Amino acid sequence: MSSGALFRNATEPVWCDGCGDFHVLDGLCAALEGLGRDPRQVALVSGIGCSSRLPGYTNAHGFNSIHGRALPIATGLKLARPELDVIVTAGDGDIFSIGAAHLMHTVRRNPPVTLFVMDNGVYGLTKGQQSPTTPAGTQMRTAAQPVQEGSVNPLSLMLSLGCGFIAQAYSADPARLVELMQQAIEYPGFSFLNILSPCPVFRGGMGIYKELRRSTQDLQQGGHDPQDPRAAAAVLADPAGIPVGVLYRR
Amino acid sequence: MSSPGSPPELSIGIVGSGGDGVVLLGELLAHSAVAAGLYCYMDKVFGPQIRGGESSAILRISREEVLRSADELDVLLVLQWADLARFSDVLSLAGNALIFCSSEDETSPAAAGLPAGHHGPVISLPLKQLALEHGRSKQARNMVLLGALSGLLDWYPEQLSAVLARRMQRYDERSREHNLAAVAAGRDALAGWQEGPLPVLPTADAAPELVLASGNELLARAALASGCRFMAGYPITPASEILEYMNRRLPTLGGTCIQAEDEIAAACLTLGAGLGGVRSMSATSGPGMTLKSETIALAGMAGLPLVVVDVQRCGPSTGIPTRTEQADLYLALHGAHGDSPRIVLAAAHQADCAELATQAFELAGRCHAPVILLSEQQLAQGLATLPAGGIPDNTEPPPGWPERSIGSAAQVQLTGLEHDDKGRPLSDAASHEANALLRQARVDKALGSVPALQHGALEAELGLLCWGGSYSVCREALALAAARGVTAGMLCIRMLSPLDREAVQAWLQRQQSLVIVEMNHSGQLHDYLRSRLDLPEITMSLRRSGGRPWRLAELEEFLVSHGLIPQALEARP
Repeated sequence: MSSGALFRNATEPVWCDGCGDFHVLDGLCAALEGLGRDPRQVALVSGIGCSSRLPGYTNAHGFNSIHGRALPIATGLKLARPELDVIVTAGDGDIFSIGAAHLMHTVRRNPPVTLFVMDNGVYGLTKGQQSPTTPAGTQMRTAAQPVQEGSVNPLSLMLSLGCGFIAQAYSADPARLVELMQQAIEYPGFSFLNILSPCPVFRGGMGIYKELRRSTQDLQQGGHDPQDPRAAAAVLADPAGIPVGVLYRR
Repeated sequence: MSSPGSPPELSIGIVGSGGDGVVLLGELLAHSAVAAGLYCYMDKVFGPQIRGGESSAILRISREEVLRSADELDVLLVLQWADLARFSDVLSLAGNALIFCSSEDETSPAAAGLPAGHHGPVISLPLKQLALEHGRSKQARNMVLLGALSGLLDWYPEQLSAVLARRMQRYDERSREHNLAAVAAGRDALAGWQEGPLPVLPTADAAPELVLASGNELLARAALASGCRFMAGYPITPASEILEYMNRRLPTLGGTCIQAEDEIAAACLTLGAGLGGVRSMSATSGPGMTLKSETIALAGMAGLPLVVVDVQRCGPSTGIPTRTEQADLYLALHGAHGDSPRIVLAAAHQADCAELATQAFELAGRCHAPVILLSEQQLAQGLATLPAGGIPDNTEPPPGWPERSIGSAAQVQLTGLEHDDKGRPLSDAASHEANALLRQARVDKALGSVPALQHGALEAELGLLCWGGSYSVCREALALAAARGVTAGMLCIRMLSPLDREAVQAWLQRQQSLVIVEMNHSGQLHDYLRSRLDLPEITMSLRRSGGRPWRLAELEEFLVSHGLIPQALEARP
C-alpha cells in the first residue's frame, strides 16, 4: 500500500483523538497515490462538518464549501473540467440531511464524481446531536430522551435511487478501505462509498471500534455478486451483520 | 414610404384568455410593424393561471424609439369582454378608441368595464362562427381578428404577409390553409365598412433595419457572446425564458445547460463551473434569489466569480409571479448573513439587459466577486425594438475565468471559512477584519465601470432619479416637464453596488429639487441613497408597489400636485 505522502500536506487536522476521519484521510491519500494520480489532477470538494475539513489536509485542489452543497458544486466543477478526478468528501449530516435532495439528482445525472461519506451517525462539529444515521433508541448527550426517529440506511437509499456503484467500508480497516476507495474513483459514473468512521467522543466511546469490528461482514468474502441488484436487495433485507464491500456495481 | 399625415404613434391592446393566441396575434402585428421600419414596444401581461387565465398584449407602434407602452389605447381587440375586466388596472382606453369584439359574447361591454364616455367605433363580429367555419377551429378567432384589423387599417400589407408566411412554416399544410382562411374571413367580413373615422397607422420615413427582442432573450444572447458556456437554472417565472434559450443554444456552442433540482443546486452548479474556470451563470426570480443567498455569499468569501440574474416580480413570497416590480434591491444589496459585499447591476431597458450582462461577466472575472444582475418582468418578457446589429451574436471561443480556477497549474485551496491567502482556515479577529476589507476592495474594483444614464439638463430645476425599468417613464416625464417650461434632468443608476458616490453626489448638487422614482412600496432606492449621500433639501420619493407598468399620467399627477411642474394649459382631448 502506498504511503500517501505525495497527497498529504503538513497541516495538523482539527479532529479529536480517536476520530475515524484520520484513517479516511490517510486512506484517501494512499488510494490516490496508489492509482498514480497527480495532486494537480484531483479536486476534493466538501461541505460543512468535521469530515469536510479533509480537503485542506491534502496537496490536491480543495474547496470546503457550505453545508450540504458539495455535490452540485462538484458536479459543476466536473462538467467544467472533465479531466479532473472530482471527489466529494462529506459527512452523514451533510449528505443525508441538509443536502439530501442533491443525492437523488446527482444519481440521476450520473456525473463521473465520487462521493465518500464519513458516516459517524452524529453531528460532531456541533457537539453531539443526532444525525439521520443515528440508530433509533440511541441516547445523545444533547437530548433529554433517546432518539425517537428511525434512521436512514445509506445503502438501501442508494440502491433504491439507482446508483451505479454502491459500497461500504470501515475506516479502521485501512487495506480494504483503500481498495474500495480506488474502485469507487475508477468507476466511470457517479460512485458512492459509505465509510463507517466513528466519533468516539460523541457516539459510543472507543468501544464503538470493537463493536464495529465484531459486527462488520465482508460481502465479497461471503461470495456476494455485486453485479446482481436482486442479490444486493437480499443482503439489505436480511443482513448477517453490517455489510462491508461492494454491494452493487452496474 | 412616408405619408404626409402619418401620426407619430398608435397603441393597441389585445385581451383574451391563455390559449386564445393573444400573444401570437400581438407578435404578428409587432413584427410586421417593425419590418415596415417602425419602432414597436410590446408589454405582455398575464394572469397567474396556468392555462385559460387572462392574457394580454399591449403594443405601441411609433416613428421614434419607444421603451414603454402608452398610457392609452387607440385600438382594442377583445376576444372576450370578461377578460377586459381582469385587466382594468393595466388597460386604459382613449375616448375614441376603435374596438373589435365578438358578437357572441355573453358579457356586456359595460359589465366588462368599458367606460361610459367611450364614443369610438365598436366592431362586433361573430368571431367564433367565422373561426369554426373558415379556420375549422375555435382557436382561429385570433386569426379572424387579425384579418379584420389588418384589412380595415391596411396594416403594413407586404410585411404582414411575409411575417405571417414565416410563422406559418411551423404549421402543417392543413393548419396553414385553415389559419389563412380565417384571416381572409375576418378581412372579408369588414370589406366595404364605411362608418366612423378610423385610426391612421404611423409610417416610417426610412426603413431602418430593426428587430424585436425581449430582455430575457437579449440577456441570454449577450451572456453567450460574453463567453458564458455554462448555465444552471430552475424553472421560475419570469426568468424561465433565459434557461430555455440557453438550453437550446449552449449545446451547439460546446457548453452545458442544466435544469437543476432546486435553486440552491442551480447556484452551486454554476459556482462549481466557475471554480473550473468556465464562465457561468444562473438566472432566477425573487424566491430563488432568497434560496441562493448562501451560495452568493460563499462566492464572495472564497473570491470566486459568480453571475446571478434576478428577474424581479411582485413579492414577497410567491406574490404575483407574472407581474412586474422593483422590490428586490435590498435583497440584492444585502441578502446574506455577515458582511457580504457584491456587485449589483440593474438594467434600465431591454437593450441594457444585454449591455449589463456583458458587463456582469467582465466584472465577475476581474473582481473575483459575485455579480447580481437585476432585471424586471416588464423588461424580461416585454419586446422592444433595436437596430438589427444591436443583438449580440458573437460565438468566438470563450475567454474563461482562468485566474485562481481549479485546473490551472498551481494548487487551489478555497474555503467558506475565514482563511489566509493560501486558503487555510483561521479564526482570529484581526485577520477577519483585514479580510472584510479585502472582500470590499474586490467589489470596489468595479467602481466607475458602469456609469449611470444621464439625460436632460445637467443643471436642473427638477431632477428625476431612478433605477431599472422606471427609466423609460422618467425619460418621458423629462420631455413632459420640458414642454411645460421646467428645466429637468434625470439620472438612472445602473450600478447600485459599489455605488459611485462621487458621481451621483456631483449630479445631485446641481438639482434644485429631486424626485426618486421606483416601483416598490418601501422606497428601497430612496432609503439606500439617503443612507449614503447628501440629498437635496427638496427630495421626494415617488414609489408604489408593482403589478402594472408605470403610466406617464402617474408621474404627471405627482409632479403637478407637488408644484414641481405646472398643470397643462388645456385639458387633453
